Amino acid sequence: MTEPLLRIDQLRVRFDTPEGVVHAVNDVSFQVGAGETLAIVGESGCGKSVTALSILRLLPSPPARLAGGSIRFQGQELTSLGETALRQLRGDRIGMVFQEPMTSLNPVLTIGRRLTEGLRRHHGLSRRAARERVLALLERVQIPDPSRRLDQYPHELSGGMRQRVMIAIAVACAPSLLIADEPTTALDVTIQAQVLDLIGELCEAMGTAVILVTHDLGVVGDVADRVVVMYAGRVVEDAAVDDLFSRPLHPYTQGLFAARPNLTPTVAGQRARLTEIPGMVPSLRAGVTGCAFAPRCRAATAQCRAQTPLLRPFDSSGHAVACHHAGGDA
Amino acid sequence: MLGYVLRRLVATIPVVIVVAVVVFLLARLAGDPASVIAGENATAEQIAQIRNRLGLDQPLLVQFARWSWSIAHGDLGVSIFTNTPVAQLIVQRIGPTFSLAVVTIVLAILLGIPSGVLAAVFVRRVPDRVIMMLAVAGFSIPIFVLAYLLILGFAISWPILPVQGYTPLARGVLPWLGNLILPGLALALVYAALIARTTRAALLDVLAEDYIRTARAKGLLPREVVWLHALKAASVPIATVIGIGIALLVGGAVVIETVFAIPGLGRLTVDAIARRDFPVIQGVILLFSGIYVLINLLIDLSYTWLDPRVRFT
Ligand SMILES: Nc1ncnc2c1ncn2[C@@H]1O[C@H](COP(=O)(O)OP(=O)(O)OP(=O)(O)O)[C@@H](O)[C@H]1O
Ligand SMILES: [Mg+2]
Repeated sequence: MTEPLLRIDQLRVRFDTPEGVVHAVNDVSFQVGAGETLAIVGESGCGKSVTALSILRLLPSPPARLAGGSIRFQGQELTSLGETALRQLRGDRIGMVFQEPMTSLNPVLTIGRRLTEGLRRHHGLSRRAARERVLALLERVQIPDPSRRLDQYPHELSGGMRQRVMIAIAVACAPSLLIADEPTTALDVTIQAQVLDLIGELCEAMGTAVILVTHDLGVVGDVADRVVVMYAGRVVEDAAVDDLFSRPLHPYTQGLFAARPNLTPTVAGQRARLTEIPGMVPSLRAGVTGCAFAPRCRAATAQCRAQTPLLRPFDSSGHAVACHHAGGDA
Repeated sequence: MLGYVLRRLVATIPVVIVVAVVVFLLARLAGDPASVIAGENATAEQIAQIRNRLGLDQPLLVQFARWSWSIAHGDLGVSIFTNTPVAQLIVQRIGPTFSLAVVTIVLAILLGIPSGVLAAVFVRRVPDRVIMMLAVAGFSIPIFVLAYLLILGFAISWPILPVQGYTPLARGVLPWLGNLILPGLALALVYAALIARTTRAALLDVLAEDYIRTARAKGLLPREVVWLHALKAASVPIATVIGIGIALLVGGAVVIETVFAIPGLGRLTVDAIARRDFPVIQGVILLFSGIYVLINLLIDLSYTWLDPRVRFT
């Protein structure tokens, strides 16, 4: 088999805080193929952002610390890469879009300044040539009247418009991988679909692979090829999107589907009730023994509480799950 | 924008009036100039005569009305000692003080901003600790002690700079600067300390912002991130503290001009107070308050340039 575009193996990230060590990411492994869209889902605080940010080493360090594992991108090991080499990847071969378009753009710099910067750095374009490229780019992300926007500041744009600018910045250099950390969470529902479509179209046209971090299973079903489900800093399930939707194996994944508010009206015109997963996300301060989900799991046994289940292949289609009891038996 | 400037200027009128009243009363508090002019052995009659000539026997309200009237006509009055018009005295003395102020501010900025940036980048590490310690020292050493230490160091022990005096700019940049470096430095250190602390704090806030992560995700060099993206975003508090520094300079200038024998406005004021030459005191203080008001306006206007979110209408 050929090497995938990105391969993360046994990644561990710790935060050294005054209150103790936070085990934010524990033995996380997954792969992204070229041009593929991978969704990472999970509850708030389960380590999605930390995983995404650690790829380009954008976590504040200290307190963040890479405690183990490997990140290979296009055959290159990133965890041991020097700052200079890493900087050449950032914004060029790997682009990032962040959650908050309000705070992720520097309020005192113009849109044009920010967009041209990356191009000039990575591709050595002149000011003029960069501006031309950027105008075309802004048109591609469907920003009306782009030449006027270039001289505007972030506060003069709407939230959706800003996120389009963020996307334009991220894809300016036609990256091989785009990491989008909840790119639509802060936007109006009506804008969310547009922005996701835009990311989808652009990346498809450029052959860019996408890691999409999201809360929204509906979004996953629409855009992802594969899905990684995270819980308490671990991958609990990894599957092709159809497999996951037709047969979620981990009790947590099943819970997520059940917790999804079903927006299609029932026969009686009522909406299906939202079933919450009972219990709380465990603290990541102490290293957990056993399955982290066990306290919330109806099917938990003594084995679940004693022994941490490892991610193991469930079938030949590449569906993997970390549960002692997945599929009915142990 | 223009409307804003005009409104701000109009709004300063009450301030100027209050300042004028305070200045007027303060100058009277300095004591009776007539007895100083008349000398120690003067009779009560002679003193009364002088008081009459200067209009000091009039009720305060009348004196104030006369003075305001002439101020409103651009007449600052005449020194009661040298009989020179106050405006002319100010013009003679403003060059050295202005030069001192410029050199001081430039030095304070050149020392303060890079130190603050360095401290923020290396926060809680050795460079930060050292810079913040120096900043505390800069705050706590009195200006005149610093001035004498600098003279001792760079003019006496290692005589590379003149001890005292002033050379006008017209006689060459180097001689001019040579005379101003030590007094400028003595005066600048406390402001540099202030600027460094503010820069550090403002930059630390900005460096924790999401958009700094965005800039890094774009693959920019750390120095581009800090000096372009972060410093520009942190510039409003820094500009404010620089402006405050300029405004506070006056007090220090009086001390420094005395120590370094610089014939500037500070010296003029000190001499005028000693002689109770109230037209000069009033004129100089009024000038300083005018400058103060103007600088404040300029700082506020600079915000629109530094931060596009600020708009004056
Ligand atoms: N700077 C930090 N210092 C200490 N702990 C941190 C820090 N950043 C993140 N963490 C911890 O790491 C864990 C994972 O956080 P992360 O931001 O990855 O969650 P997430 O899955 O992205 O959640 P959300 O959906 O809310 O964005 C959290 O428990 C959080 O407390
Ligand atoms: Mg997150």
